[in-house]
Amino acid sequence: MDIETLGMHFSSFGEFLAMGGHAPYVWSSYAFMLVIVLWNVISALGQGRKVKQQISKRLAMQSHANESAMEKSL
Amino acid sequence: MWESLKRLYHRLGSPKWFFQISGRWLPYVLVLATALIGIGLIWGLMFAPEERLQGNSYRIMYIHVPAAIIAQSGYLILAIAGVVSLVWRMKMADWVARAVAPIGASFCLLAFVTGAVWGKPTWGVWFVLDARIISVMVLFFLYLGVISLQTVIDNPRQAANASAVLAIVGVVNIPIIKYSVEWWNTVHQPASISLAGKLSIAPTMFMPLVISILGFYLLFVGLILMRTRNHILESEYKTRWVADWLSQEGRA
Amino acid sequence: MKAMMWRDLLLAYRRKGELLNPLFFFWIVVGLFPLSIAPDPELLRQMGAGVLWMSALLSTLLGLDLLFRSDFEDGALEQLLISPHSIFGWVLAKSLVHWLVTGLPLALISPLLGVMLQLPASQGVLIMSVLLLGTPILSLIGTVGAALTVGLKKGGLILPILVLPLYIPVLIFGSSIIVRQLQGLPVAQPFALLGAMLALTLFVSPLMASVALRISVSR
Repeated sequence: MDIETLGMHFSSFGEFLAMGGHAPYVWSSYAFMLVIVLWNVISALGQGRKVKQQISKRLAMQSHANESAMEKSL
Repeated sequence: MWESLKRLYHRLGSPKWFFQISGRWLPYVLVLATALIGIGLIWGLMFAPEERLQGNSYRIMYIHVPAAIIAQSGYLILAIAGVVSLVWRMKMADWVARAVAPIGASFCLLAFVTGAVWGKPTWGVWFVLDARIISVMVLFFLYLGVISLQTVIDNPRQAANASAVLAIVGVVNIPIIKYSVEWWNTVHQPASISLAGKLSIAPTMFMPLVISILGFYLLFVGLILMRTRNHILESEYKTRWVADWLSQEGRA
Repeated sequence: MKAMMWRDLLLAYRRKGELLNPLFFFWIVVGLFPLSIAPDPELLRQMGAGVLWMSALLSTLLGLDLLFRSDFEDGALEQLLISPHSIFGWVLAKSLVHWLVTGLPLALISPLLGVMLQLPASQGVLIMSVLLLGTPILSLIGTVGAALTVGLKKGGLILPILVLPLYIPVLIFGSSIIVRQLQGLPVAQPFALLGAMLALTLFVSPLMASVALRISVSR
C-alpha cells in the first residue's frame, strides 16, 4: 500500500526527515522535548528510590537503637 | 453536592488515602499519557498538512503549546496549593507544591526554548522579543524563585509556607507583568508579531494539537502524582501504613 | 512606630558609609555603562533611561537583606510578633526607611547622572519625579523578599532571584516615561500606571511581608 493513501503528508521517509528544509528547527525542538520528559521521569523515579533507601536506613538505625536499649535495660 | 465536595476535600487531606488512590491510578494515567502523546505527535508530525505561511516549522507547535499550558497551570497550582497550605495548614498541599515546582519549571524551559527555535525559520532570528516569549521567560524566573526558596530553607514546614507566600505574590504579579510586557511590546513594535496568533489552523492541524495537549497534561498529572508520593513517603515513614506498604512492596 | 522610624534613620545616619553605599553604587554602575558601549551621545541618549532604571534596581537590592537582620538577631522581631498588635505599620515603616536611605537619594542625584548619559538637562525634573514615584515600589516589593529570607544564611544570594522578576513592570513603565518624553509622546498613561502600582504595593506588600515574617521567625 502506498503511504500517501494513508493520508500521510510526506511522500518518503527522507522527505519526512527533511521537514521541507526546516529539519534543524523541528527536530531540535522535539529532541529537547525528549530530554525534558526523560529528565522528569528519571528524576521522579530516582527521587523515589532515594526516599525508600533513606527510610530503610532510618528504620534499621531505629531498630538497632531499640535493641541496644533493650540490652541495657536487661 | 456540597457535602460530597467537602468529603472529597477532607479525603484529599489524608496522605494515606491519596497514596493508595494515586498508586492505583498512576499506571493508567501514565499509559494513557504515553499513548495520547504518541498519537498526537505522530499525527502532527506526519499526517497534518503543511501550514500555508510557515511550512513545516509550525509542527513545533505540537510541543510548544502543551508545554506553555503546563507551565502556566503549574504556577497556578503552586499558588492554589499555597493558599490551601497557609489557610488550612494542609500538609498534602505542601507536598503537591514541592512536586509541581520542578516539573512546571522544566516545561516552562521547554516552552521557552521551542518558542525561541520557532522564531528562526519564521522570522530569521533565534529569539523574537515578542511579549509572549518574554512572559514565558519571566514565568521561568518566578519558578526559580520558588524552587530556590524551597531548597534553601531546611525546615520543611517553613520552606513550604515561605514558598507559598512567594507563589501567591508571583501569581498576583503575573497579570501585571504580562500587561506591562505587552504594553512594552506594542509601544516598541507597532506591528506586533506572535507565533501562534497568525497561524491559519485547519481542523486537521487542530485535532492532533488537542490530543497532544491532553497527553502532555496527563503526563504532567502523572509526574505530580509520582513526586507527591515520594514526598508523602519521606515525611510519613514512621506511620504504620507506610511500613505495611513498604513490606508489601519488598515482597512483590 | 514613629520612634522606631527615627531610631532606624538615626542608626542609618550614624553609619554614614552604609548610607552612602547605594548612592555610590548607583553612580558607579551608571558611570560604567558608557564605558561598556561607546562615547556616542546619540546611542547613550537612547539607552539612558534603561541604564538609570537598571542601576536603580540593582542599587535598591544592595541593603535589602539587612533590612530585618538586626531585629531578627537581637530578638526584637520575635517580641514584636508575639504582641497582639498588627505589625503592618511596623513593616510599612521599615520599607519607608529603606526607601529614605536608598531610593530617595538615588532619585535626587538622578538628573545629574542623566546629564552624564547625554539626556537633556531639561528632562531632569521628569527623571527625578519618575524615580521618586517608582523607587518606593522597589523598596516595598523588596521588603517582601527580605521578610521571606530573613534568618537564612544564604538569604542574600537568593533575594535578587526572588525580587528582580517582580520589578519588571516598574522597569518597563519607569523607563518608558523617560523615553516617551524624549520622543515628544504623551506620558500620562505610564505615569498613572506607575501611580496605581505604588498604591497597590503600599497596601499589599506590608501585608505579605507581615505574613512572611511570621513564617520566617516561627522556628
